[in-house]
Amino acid sequence: MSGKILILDDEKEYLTSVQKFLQEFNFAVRTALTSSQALDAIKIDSPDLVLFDYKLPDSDGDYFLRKAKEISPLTSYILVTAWNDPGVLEGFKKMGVTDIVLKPIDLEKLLKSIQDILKRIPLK
Amino acid sequence: MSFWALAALINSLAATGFGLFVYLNNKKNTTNISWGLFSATIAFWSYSYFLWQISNQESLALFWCRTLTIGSIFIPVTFLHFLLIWLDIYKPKKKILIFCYLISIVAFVLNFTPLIVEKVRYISFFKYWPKAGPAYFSFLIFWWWVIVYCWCLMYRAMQTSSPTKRNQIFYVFIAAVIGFSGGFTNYPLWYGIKVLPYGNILVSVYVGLMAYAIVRHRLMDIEVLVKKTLVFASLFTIVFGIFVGTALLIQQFVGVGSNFLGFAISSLIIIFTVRPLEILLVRVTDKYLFQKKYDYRHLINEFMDELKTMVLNANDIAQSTIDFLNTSIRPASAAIFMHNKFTSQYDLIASSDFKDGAFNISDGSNIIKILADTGKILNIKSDNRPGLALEKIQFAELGIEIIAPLLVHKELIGVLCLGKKKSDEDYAEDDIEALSGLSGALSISLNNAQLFDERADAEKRALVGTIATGINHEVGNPLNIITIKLDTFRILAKEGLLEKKSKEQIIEDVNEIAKICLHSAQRISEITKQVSEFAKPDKKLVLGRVNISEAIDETVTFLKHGMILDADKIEKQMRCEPVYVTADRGQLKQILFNLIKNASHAIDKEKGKIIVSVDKNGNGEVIIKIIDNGHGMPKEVMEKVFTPFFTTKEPGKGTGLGLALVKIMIDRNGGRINVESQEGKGTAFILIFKGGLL
Repeated sequence: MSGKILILDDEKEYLTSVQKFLQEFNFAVRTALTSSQALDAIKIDSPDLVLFDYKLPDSDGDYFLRKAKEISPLTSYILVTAWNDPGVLEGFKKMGVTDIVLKPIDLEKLLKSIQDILKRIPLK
Repeated sequence: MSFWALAALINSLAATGFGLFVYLNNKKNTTNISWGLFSATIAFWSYSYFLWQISNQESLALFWCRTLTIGSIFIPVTFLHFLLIWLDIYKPKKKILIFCYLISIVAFVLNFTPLIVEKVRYISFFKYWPKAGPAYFSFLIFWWWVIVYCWCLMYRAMQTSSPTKRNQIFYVFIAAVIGFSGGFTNYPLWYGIKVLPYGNILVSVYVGLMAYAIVRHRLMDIEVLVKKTLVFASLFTIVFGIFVGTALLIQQFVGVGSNFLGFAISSLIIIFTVRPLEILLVRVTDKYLFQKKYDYRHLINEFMDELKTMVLNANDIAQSTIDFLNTSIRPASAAIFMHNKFTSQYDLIASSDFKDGAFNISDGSNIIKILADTGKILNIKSDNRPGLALEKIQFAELGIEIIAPLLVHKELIGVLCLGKKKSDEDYAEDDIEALSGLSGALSISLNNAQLFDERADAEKRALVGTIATGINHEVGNPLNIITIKLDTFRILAKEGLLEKKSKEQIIEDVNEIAKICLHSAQRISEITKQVSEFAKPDKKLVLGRVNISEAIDETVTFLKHGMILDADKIEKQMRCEPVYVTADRGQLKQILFNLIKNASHAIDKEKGKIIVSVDKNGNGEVIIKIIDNGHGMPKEVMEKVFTPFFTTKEPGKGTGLGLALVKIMIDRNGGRINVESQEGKGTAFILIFKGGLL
């Protein structure tokens, strides 16, 4: 199975670590450090799946999600965050995130979630 | 001149001199006046005695004999008068005194008749010795009765007085016994009993004893003048000696008729030696009799000024006070205790030569209760309050003589304890007065220092609080990465993906994992180290060579972690070769932290910039400037910027201690700080430390 994945986070080392991990499973992984970088990448590439953090240097997660969905409504979105607040998480679910993964990250869970999502959608 | 005449002359001169001295010492004090009166009667008596002794006619001798009797009539009653005033029992005994004066006046009137002195006649060595008249015996009984009564009064007063006063009374008592007994040796011959009046000269001894009591025990609170008198008397004797001695020598060697030469030479010697002699005598009397005397008010004012500018630390203030006392009052031991809210005990914070062993005072102690209630200094030696006996023994064993309460708003915050004076002098009224002034100032300073410590502590806790969020983030991220890296490897193995890789590839992967994990672990350890550095309680300063460039980098990293400052807002400029400064590493970083944080509050979010520059000057000093392009400050703010609790921030936003703490820390590290500012343009803090090339 393969697919195009974009990861958005302000921590560079985290980004490359997760990127490397997913590449081992043959995903095509790109990274972005800011939400504007990520939005540009979505415009050009329209990935199958986007992983994004709530806390972003140039905006916040819900703003990014709204904009991204406007550009690429068919893409699936996974929120990866340390902010374990039921209210916030519920809000994101309503906004249409496909899944939520809590930090510190459990790679197996993340992998399973990605695989499940990509199985369900027809790859571009 | 006969021995008897000479003795009388000496007595009269001694009594006149000493009486005048005491009277002139304090002309308004009734004690001194009454002593003067008593001395006058003795002088009158002995002077008449002298004139009687040198009389060569019977009528003249009889006249002087009756005159001297006037003196001896009034001697006991004026002594009683003095005692009543001095022992502070004048009012209750006033009637007795009036009665004695009345009897004395009756005797005085009778003295004009032969009822007292019948006539003078030849007896033993004396050509004209008086014969007692019929009323004389009653007078003698009265005389003795008054004197014995005086002794009783003194004896009783000794039982109830303070040790200082007891000592003084003791000397007066002994002086009175000797003097009056000596004087009494005159009377047997009046009745033809052949006992010669050898005791007469003893009347002079009382003057000597009284003088000693004044020097040693501050009888009648006479003090300073004694020194001057002693110096003057010695100087006079020495100068006189030089004058006479030189004149005699010149006479002997050059021959008679060279009086003028002798006079000229001795005058020259005197002119050149009198000043150094005086200085020497002052020093000698100071050293052996008084220790160094001090102008209390002046010294204490000076010390109070010092207290105001002193580093705000209770222990330092206490120790400086002890040092000050050691050079002024010179107690054998001294200690300052501070009240401990939690244990209700008093903790020793500074001392010198103090036996701290089993010392234990708490709020329950009677002495503490009395100090708190009265707010007055307690003299253990002279205090007679009931219920203190046991504690007094405890204090006395520790050598404590004076306990001064340290009060703030009527609350006892501590006590100052002093041992006896090294000079062995007793604590006098002016000592106590000076000490209460001092302990007042000390209380305020210590209290301020305590408040300051508490606030500074709160400031530090707040600081740690603000960076706690940052720490969570900074430790969380590297931990995440470690987890991801290790988990990746585990999952690949589990999924059988590793087997598909070449050996080289696996080695490369593992190597990369190890590298990244190690780096992350180092990041975590660095952060925890820095946090503990800031959260540590104040330890003793460890001055050493600190690489200033490193210290700045570490501080900036820390500010970033605390989310106080963006990295791109700050720039480090090394304007010289790598240098070190001599300081405590932790405190230097705390100083930089506070100043940069302060600057970050002043700058604009968008265009703000902070420059930390390092340079050296020609004096082996390193100059660190923290320059911001923020809002700057007006002159009146700039002047108060290091004043504790001064803040321009809104309530709750700043304690006004940040810069004050910086100033204190810089002082402790032997550095200096200046501030330059222009409203609207920015501010520069300039730190100067000792340092050099690395």
